[in-house]
Amino acid sequence: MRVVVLLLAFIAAGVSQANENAEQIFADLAPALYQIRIIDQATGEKSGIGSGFQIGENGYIATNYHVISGYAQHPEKYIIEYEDHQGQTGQLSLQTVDVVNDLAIVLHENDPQPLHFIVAEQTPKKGEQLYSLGNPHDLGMIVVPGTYNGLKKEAFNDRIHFTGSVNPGMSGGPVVNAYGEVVGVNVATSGNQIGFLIPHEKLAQLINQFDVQVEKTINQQITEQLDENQRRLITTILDNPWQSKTFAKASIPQMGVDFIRCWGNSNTDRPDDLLFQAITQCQMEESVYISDSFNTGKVSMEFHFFEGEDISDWRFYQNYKSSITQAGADNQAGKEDVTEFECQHDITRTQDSSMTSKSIMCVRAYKKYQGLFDIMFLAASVDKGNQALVSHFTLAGVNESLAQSFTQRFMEASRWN
Amino acid sequence: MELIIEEISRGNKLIGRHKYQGDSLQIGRGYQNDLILSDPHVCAEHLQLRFDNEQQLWFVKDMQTLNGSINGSGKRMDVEQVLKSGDVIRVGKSQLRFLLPDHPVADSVKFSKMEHFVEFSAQWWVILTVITAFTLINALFAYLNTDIREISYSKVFTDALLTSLVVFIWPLVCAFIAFINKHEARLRNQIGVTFIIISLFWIADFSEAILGFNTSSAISVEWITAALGIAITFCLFWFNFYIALHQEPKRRLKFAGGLTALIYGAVLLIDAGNKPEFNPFPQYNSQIMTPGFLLVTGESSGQFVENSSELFTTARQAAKKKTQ
Repeated sequence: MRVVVLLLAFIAAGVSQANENAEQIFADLAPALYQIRIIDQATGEKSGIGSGFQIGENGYIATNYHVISGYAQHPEKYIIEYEDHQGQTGQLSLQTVDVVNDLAIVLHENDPQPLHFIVAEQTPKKGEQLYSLGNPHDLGMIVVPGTYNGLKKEAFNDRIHFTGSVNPGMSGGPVVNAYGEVVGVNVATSGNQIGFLIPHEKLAQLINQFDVQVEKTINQQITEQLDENQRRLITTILDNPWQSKTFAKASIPQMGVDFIRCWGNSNTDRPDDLLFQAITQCQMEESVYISDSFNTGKVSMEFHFFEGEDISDWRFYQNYKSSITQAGADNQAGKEDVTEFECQHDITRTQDSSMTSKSIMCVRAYKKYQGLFDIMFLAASVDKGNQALVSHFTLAGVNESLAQSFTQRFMEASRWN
Repeated sequence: MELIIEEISRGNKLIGRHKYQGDSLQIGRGYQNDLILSDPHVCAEHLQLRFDNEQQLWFVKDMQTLNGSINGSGKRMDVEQVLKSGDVIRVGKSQLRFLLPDHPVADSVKFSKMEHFVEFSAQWWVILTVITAFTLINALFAYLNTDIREISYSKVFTDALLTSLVVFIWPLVCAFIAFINKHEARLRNQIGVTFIIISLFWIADFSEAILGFNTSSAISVEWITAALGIAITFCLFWFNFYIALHQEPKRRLKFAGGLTALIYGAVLLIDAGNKPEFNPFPQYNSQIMTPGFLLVTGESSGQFVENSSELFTTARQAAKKKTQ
């Protein structure tokens, strides 16, 4: 039944009239805009704020997952509240979430007003004027005009690049086109007029799956989304044939996916350092936010090349040794989220025996999202007297078989030239 | 008839030993006595001893003294009584043991191998060699660990020398303990033995390194190295006590074992106290050595990945246990 209502809403979208200015849009849609507040039950005070907008006559309101994540993680501690344009407040109930796209749908159960936003069917054109709505810093609802600049480059999960100020507190607010149709949802900012939005298709997807999703617990929904996301992520990386890239006197893998970006550095400018060291760091710039102390869905790699041309092997190894003692996870996680790491180590060699390394692998399991793990792997070459290569990666939130396939591929990918 | 009298302190330490010839003997604070005691609680004429030729026995009598005399069975001597070889009589705050010439003595103790080792370690050349070696090894590791090109050799050596000086404190403490217990201090023996045994820790460290480097996590070597460390510590204390105090072997074992347990127990306790409730950092063995010490060919990456299934199982179980 809900699906039918929501589909009708899409059809209604076609008849919207183009509004000439931002004020008109705001005046027309203000009743369907809300401030979303997370209230700490013990103190009755706000612990977080964001924006939300009504997407159906029955009182369904869309917002960001990160706005209501406190409640999603600790429903016993918080309640979700709204404040409408007239200053009236009331309680909301959490219906469904999409952690990968940072979306959530909450329900305003008691006597909702019928006015609601309509989700656009078309993607905006580059340079099109858009209007971002929201309540920045608790200052009241505002309209921020800006332009659509296409999708963010080098992102695994699509984000719209919006040139306009998206400020804290506007998270979860809608971004509409000149017809007042929702083309994105405010999610993040890089400062200086660079804002990021969740594309409207992601919201439409969540609305379409609503009936199925709402039957599951929030934890089940998150588990499935994380699982699906890591499957897509790791398979994309593994489906691509890895290229070999020269790195100092060794070769390291290049995964050929644009969402993993590499940066390099070396200590050539510090002649007093005993060992020459070159570093390549590759990582994803996005991660999946679960709570303030827990994020996941990341892949990162690091390669260190060491050389000590004019020193003894003993001295080289004594110094090289200290560089591999403190590897850790790349994502943040706490006691309630993950177990402690379990580790294994052994001397390993590549299939063609081109490199012998001390390999270390550590695994920790997710407590609420079972079947997912964080992986830390490090291989330190031990077959050359005064040259060494450390190959290191971390995976956050992957399942066992994909983690193992990735590890297997990675272990064979580094070699001496 | 001959009689031997031993003056014993209240801590059962022998203070003096005297041998007398004759049939009678006076003991007291007065200068007319055969054995003159300086204890102010002893009377001028305190004990009188006489040898009965017919019965071939010594008799002892308290001379109605102010503080009296207590015999071996802890009773006050009111009448003259027979004195047996080995009897201890308490007069004032002093104790006297009476022995006949034919009193049996304990079997002579053969010099043990330990004694040879202890004597060996007290020689100047041994002490010098072992301290020099200890300092040099420390300096070598400080040198190997320096991560910059310009090394301050004087600092490397003074640091190493300082470490040796700190180690030096321990034999000094042991010699002092011997001294206050009225034993020979034997400082040189203590120094030699301490430095030789502490140098064994380098061997323990080396075997820990080579084992940690060449074995996989499937074989646990931590307990071997821990046991080696405990054994060396125990040996050190055993020898320190052996040199400093004249203890029964059993008592020495208890002392050395107790001190070792105390130290390692304290370390364990501090470790347990410092352990965070949740450690977000992986704890792994990162031991590597130069290729020359690599004794295994290494397993294939496939095998390594296959072994990791066990890690996932353990982690999965830990997650389940904690959510229940």
